[in-house]
Amino acid sequence: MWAEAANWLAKFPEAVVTAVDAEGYPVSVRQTAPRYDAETGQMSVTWPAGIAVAEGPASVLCHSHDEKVWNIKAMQIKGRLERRAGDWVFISTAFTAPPGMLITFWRLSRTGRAAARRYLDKRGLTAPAVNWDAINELQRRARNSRS
Amino acid sequence: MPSPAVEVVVKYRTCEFTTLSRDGSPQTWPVGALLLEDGRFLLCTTIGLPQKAFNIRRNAKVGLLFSEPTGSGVTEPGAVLIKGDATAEDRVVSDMMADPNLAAFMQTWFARQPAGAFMSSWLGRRLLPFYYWRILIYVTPRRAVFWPTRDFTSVPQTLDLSELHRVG
Repeated sequence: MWAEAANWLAKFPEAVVTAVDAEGYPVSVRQTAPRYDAETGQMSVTWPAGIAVAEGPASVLCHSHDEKVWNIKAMQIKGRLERRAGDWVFISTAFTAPPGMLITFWRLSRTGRAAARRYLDKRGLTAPAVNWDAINELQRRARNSRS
Repeated sequence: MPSPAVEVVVKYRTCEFTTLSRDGSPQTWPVGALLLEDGRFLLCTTIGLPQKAFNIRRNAKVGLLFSEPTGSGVTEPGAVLIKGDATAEDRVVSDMMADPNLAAFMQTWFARQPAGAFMSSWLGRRLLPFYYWRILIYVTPRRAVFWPTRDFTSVPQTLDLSELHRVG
């Protein structure tokens, strides 16, 4: 059942595991070469001393980008963090394979428009006009700062 | 000269930003974040992807992990984990120069992600007209720790939050 999640996870050298601490704050640590069981959807987690964490809802995020913050790839598994025999274990509960870049843009175009419309309508706002001159100016400054 | 921990939060291109959903589940996204002079962080999201803001308005507790050094130029990369309290502004900002901190954030982001200019191209404006309708998110750090070597199995060092109050 978790083979697809395992295949996706294997594309990344590291994974970020996030859970919640006793004060209710989310806390994250990276796992190098994560060992994920494709049969059970479970993954042992090395949690460092000094970062308190509690059993409960958790997630695994893998992401990457290139030197110019492009070619972005990301995947996420939802689950729980549990303590078993003195070790921490992530237990998967849901995974949806991420679509490709083009499909992501296409979906974002549709779902983002709908979400933005709901956001504005709920607050009685009209679609604000974007100051494109400001964006062009900030992009010009950014280009100059790179050169 | 910033400390190695401050260099991480200033130079890393993205951080893993976590908010808590209605049922208490952590939701983590890779995002850009700008350290402000007063020690807070500025992030933003489009109202086309408002879930971060909705989560923050229900539960202000958030986490920021700076752990991905790609593109940062940091030669001895460490990692910083910050627990903080966030606010998501009510206003929708469509003028990226209306707020000096937002202008600094956007200029930094444009410099780091040149291909992101697509979002303001003819096609980008038509595909994602909501992209520059922004909600500003401010995070006030409450506790922070630092791993000098990205060895996450080691005990991290406690980071004095006053280190984050950097001189602009």
